[in-house]
Amino acid sequence: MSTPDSSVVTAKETFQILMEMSKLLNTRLDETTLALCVRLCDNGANPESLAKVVNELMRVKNEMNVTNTTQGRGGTGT
Amino acid sequence: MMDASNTLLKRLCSHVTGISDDRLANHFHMAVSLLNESPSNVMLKDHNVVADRIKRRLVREKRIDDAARFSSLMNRLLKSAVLRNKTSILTFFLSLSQDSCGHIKDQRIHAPENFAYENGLCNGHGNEEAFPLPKLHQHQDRKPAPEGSVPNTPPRSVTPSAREPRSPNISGSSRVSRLAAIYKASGAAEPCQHESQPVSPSNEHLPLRPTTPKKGAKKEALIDITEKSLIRDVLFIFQGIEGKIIKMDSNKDGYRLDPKVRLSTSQKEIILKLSDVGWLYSQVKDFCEWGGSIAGNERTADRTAAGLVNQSLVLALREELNDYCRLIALLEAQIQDGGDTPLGEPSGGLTLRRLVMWTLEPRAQLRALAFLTHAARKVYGGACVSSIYQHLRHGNPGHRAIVCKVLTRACTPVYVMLTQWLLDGALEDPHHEFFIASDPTVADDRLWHDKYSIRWSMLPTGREAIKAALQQTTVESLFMQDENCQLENLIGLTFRETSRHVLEEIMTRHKLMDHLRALRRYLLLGQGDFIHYLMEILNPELDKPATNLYPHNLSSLLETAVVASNAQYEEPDILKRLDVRLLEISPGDLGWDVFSLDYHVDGPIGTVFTAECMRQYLMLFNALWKDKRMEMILSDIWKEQAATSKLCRELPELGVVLHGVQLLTQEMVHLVHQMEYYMTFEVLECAWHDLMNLLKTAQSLDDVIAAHNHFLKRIVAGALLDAESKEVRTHLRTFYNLIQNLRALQERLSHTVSAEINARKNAVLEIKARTEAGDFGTSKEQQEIERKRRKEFTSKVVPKLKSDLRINTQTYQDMVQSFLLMLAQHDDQNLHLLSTRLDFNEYYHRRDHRLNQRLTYHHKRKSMGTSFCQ
Repeated sequence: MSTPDSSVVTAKETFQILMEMSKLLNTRLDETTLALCVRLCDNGANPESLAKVVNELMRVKNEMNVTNTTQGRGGTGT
Repeated sequence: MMDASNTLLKRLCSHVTGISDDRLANHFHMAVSLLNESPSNVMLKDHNVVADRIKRRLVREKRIDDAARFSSLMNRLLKSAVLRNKTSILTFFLSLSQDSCGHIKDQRIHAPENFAYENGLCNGHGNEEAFPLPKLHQHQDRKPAPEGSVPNTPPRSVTPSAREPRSPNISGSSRVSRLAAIYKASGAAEPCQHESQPVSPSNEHLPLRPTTPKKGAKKEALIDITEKSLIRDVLFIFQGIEGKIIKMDSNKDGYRLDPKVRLSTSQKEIILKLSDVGWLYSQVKDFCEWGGSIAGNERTADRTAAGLVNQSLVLALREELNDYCRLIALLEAQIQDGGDTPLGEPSGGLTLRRLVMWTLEPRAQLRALAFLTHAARKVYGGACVSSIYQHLRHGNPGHRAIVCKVLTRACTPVYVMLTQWLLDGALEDPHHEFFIASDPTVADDRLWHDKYSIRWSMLPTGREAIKAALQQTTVESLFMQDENCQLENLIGLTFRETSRHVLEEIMTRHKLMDHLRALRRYLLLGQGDFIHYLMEILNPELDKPATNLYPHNLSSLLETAVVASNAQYEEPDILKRLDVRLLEISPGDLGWDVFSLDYHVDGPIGTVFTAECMRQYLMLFNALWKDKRMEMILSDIWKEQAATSKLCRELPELGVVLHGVQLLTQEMVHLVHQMEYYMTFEVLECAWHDLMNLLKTAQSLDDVIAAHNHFLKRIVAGALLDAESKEVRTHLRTFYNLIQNLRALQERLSHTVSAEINARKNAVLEIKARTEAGDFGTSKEQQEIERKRRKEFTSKVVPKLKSDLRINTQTYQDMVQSFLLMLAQHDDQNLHLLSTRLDFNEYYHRRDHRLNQRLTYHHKRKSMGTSFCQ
């Protein structure tokens, strides 16, 4: 289908596409997170569960940022 | 999980949370457990399915542009060979974006949700954030449920309205059912929706416990059901299928609720409304399945027997039903998909109340359709169209719109038939639906008049009934709403075109004008030389008794007459049609009484010259033929008179008689000539002229027929053959008798004259012969005989002749007098003129004072009913 060279290019393009999609769908993922998630997905992780994980992590981060007190509880909760 | 994955996950955790120390372990642990809980099953799905979902979601959020952009991105992504698992990533995006929405909206409600985690129910929490109330409910009510361990399914839990308290108020079910849906507290079917859900995973339905323990305790036998299963049932009902809870009530032609189900009054009412839709649907569907109508009729057995109109009506109804089914399918899909969309979204869940809203319009439509099916029952064809058409006047514009739509479809076959009929003249109506019926048994010559008739019952009613005499029939009416105007034009145009064509056809190819002219020449005695010659050569034949006549003899004479006159230059086709005909013979008839000319009309021109027309022509011929014969007799009399008057110079005693006979003959000739003049110039020529004018301007064959009929009627009336002038005609017949008498008298006279002269000549010759023989010329006895003979002649024969003549004259004059009176009192102005001409020297005026005032209205009134004869 494609030569290795072009596949590198395609990989970049693909990532751009995915990034754009992610923005479209308002996932609030940054590039690194997205890259990690994509690789996880490719490795066979359950995407739905992964989404939950990411959400949870983001929530934790938010809590830490907004109220440092709640962060502890959220952490223990999970 | 593989090491690589773990590393990735760890990096993810640290990156997202921004924590790098050992606190991260907690989160990492949580993440691993979450991921491990559910094996990935998304592989089963196709990436297209997921992409579609995302797109739908975007569309729902009114982000059409984004959806389009997503599509293009998706297309590009599909070309990429890098990703092994596109579906998975898409699913990830989908889940995340859902979750993120909820996350943004309801950040405040994090605290309660922790209970979920404490309970170990980690599933679906993200989604429930969007719906604080249901979630609260759930958390309160939920037991460690059997389906609790299905974490990977997106939260579908409960629809918002599912938290409506299920009151056990079953007594409310006795409320009267409206229209068809009947809810009765009876029956025993027990709905167990947990096992009963055939399609969806059980976790979709969280059973709701009785909200208030008190009520639940009161009626323990009652079963609670989720709104979801109720909706599912309602959807079944929408399709006319029995549900688990809502059953068909065969007794009452409606639906009833399972009595064991606990429902609130309001819910019952809603379901009542909804099942109305189902009932209407099944009504329409029944109609469709019975091939369109005529329920209760044997014809239903054969689907095609219902006719094209009904078939297309069914088709139209089916299309409407298809639309309706599409809606049902959408609703059903919404139940199925319900879980995929978070409940907070406007179109997310399906509730009974939403169902009511969504079915409002289809319900109205179904109602309209049901009305139509009711109207279309037991009627077919044009009548069916008519009965649907009446619904067009419904006040409700929505109803009207749908009726219009259906009617347009149902009319299609009628329209096609009509167009075919108009344009091709073909009548294809296997089911006898069209409003024009054709009778295949009709013979060619009656084609125009009898072949097609109108089925009045099939005549569609319309805003305007357009009358149009079409190609081969007389009157038709049309209909149709929007196309009314168009159709009118079409019909007008076609009618004109066809008429023109038919006229052209009959005028040129079938030579209508030639036939008319031939009829006038031969049957109305227009061709003078021919008629005269024919009469002369027929004279010896026709003087024989009618029983001795042979048509073939007469035919050969006719041919002789044709050859001898200008008629020989006529077209052979016309001459071929000319024939001799003998009328019915009654005892004592002479040839004159039964002889008639005939003109054969067959084929297309028979359309104009119907049998009735030909009968009138024959009648006219007879009358004219008689007139003509009288003229001939009179001219014979005149000829004889010329000879007799020469002889009479030697018989002065006969001078008076001869003079009287001559006077009478002249009077009769005058009358006959005036009659002929009147017939020719005032009746035939005028009528003919009008006929020609009318034919020139005729637009259609019907115009031609009407003009011709008018022409015939006019000349029949003019020839005093109609019912009004019957008396005049009888009078005229006595006049003919008088002429015959005169002829007899004249014959006797000339016979007497010649006998007398011969006798005298003989006497003179005898004297001469004897003188030559040397004898006496005469003897006494011989003189005596001669004298006696002469005396007898003058005293007996001459007075006899005189008195006969007087009687004849007297009768004749009386006849003329009353004839003049009759003419004067006739309505026809031309007859008044005739009367004036007949009495040009006012001889009869002086004889009868009544004739002086004959033209006054006063006189007319007075003489009404009095006898004309003296």
